[in-house]
Amino acid sequence: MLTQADVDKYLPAFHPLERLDAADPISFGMYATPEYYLEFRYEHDKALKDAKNVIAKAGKEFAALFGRDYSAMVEGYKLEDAETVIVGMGSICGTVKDAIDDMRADGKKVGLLRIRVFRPFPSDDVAKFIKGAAQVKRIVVLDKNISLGAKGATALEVKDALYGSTIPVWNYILGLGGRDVRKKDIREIVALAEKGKGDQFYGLRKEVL
Amino acid sequence: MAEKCKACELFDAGHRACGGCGASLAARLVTKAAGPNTIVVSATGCMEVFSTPYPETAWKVPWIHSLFENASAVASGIEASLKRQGRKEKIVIMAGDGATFDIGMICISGAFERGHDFTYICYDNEAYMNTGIQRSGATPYDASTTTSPAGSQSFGNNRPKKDMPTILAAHGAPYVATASIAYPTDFMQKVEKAINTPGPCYIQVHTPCCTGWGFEGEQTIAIAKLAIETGLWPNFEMVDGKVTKVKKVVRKPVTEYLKTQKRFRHLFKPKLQEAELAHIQAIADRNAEKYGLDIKLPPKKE
Repeated sequence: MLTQADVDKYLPAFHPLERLDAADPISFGMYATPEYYLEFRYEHDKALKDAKNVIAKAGKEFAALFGRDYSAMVEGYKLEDAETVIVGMGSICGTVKDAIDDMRADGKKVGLLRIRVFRPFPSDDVAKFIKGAAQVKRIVVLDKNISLGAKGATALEVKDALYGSTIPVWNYILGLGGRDVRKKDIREIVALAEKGKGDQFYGLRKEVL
Repeated sequence: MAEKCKACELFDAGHRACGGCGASLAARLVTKAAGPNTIVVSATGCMEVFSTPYPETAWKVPWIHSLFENASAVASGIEASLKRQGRKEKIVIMAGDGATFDIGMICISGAFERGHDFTYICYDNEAYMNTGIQRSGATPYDASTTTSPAGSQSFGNNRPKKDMPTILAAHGAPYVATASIAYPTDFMQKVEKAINTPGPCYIQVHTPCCTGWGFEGEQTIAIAKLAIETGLWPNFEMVDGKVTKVKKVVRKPVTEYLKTQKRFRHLFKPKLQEAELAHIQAIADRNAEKYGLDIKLPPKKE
């Protein structure tokens, strides 16, 4: 548990750049026409892309003070010799790591590439981890979401990041609405990918369709 | 404060309202009465659009707009934050009748029930003017709008105006008033009173809209006056739910008001719709009875 003094060392006092203040009145949330909107969006996009450097800097400062390093946009787990790379985001990754340990005990070379930051999307990091690794035979993307009429959101980004690569990327939609995802599910999904069966909803209850 | 601030102009010229806009006059009078130590929260609507065409603003006080429905929620948060910081600025919400009577109703009810200290001013031009004159819960009976068009099958809006002042008084609002831009001193005094009353206060100000109602811009004040003189806009104050002050009038027939505006012209042309006019006269008569609007004149000498 961090002390308040430790936290204060890292987090500066809250001084917003702009505020509602009678001594210095400004207007917030004004009406803008299409003459400005394109430029607003350009600046929003640029700011979000620039956030990559801010995230790295803040992560390093945090690590220097507290020893936990969140500066990287992606996290690799047992990737060095992985033939199957699972890509996931968020809470599912803990389950995936446990499943990888079990599969490795059985001799399967599986690793995890965890996307820690979705926007800006770390396309370069994904490409660096996967494109350069000759042993990678397949990529398994787990999505607890579905972009209706297309694929899971992470799969679309991973395919974009790996454009030109011939490594198959299999997408599995699972755990929607908070349905449980267990270690055995991850093993089954890897088995499906090994058979070349992917791009599907995993765990569909056919009886209710 | 109204006396002191007579010279204050905190709602600047050069905004994009129509010539003869009643709402822009309301904004000017409200900021004059409230003074510079005020934070204004606007809902989406005509006023938000015509007063802040990016990168320009007409507001010389801090001003914030978020969405159509949430002005009173935004104001609630600002009030809580000011309290926490020990700051003394007053909070005034400026919202149209669409944002007030319809879209913002849930947020308004919540904020009034929680008892935040702010003044909510509804500039009531009786329809969604900014988006093309669609009816709202504030549109009066028989007014023709683009979504309640008068024609062979209809005399226009077939529902009565929602009674927002009573609804908010029923929430326990300590001060509720109606006002009119035709009586600026009365309006400004009410704004001051609301601002200086702790808790959520509500003022509904009648702001004729030349574009939406169909009249020439120089008639705005005259028409606002006629609304009061015919009993169609009762001008009153309610303190703790009790009516304490009413503007009494020697009432004119409602036709005097209705005939000035295109939104009611189907009641006069191609033929006089006597039954409809009688219905509207009955609304005014009920207002007169409910609020005691009539000045009793001494009987004429023979």
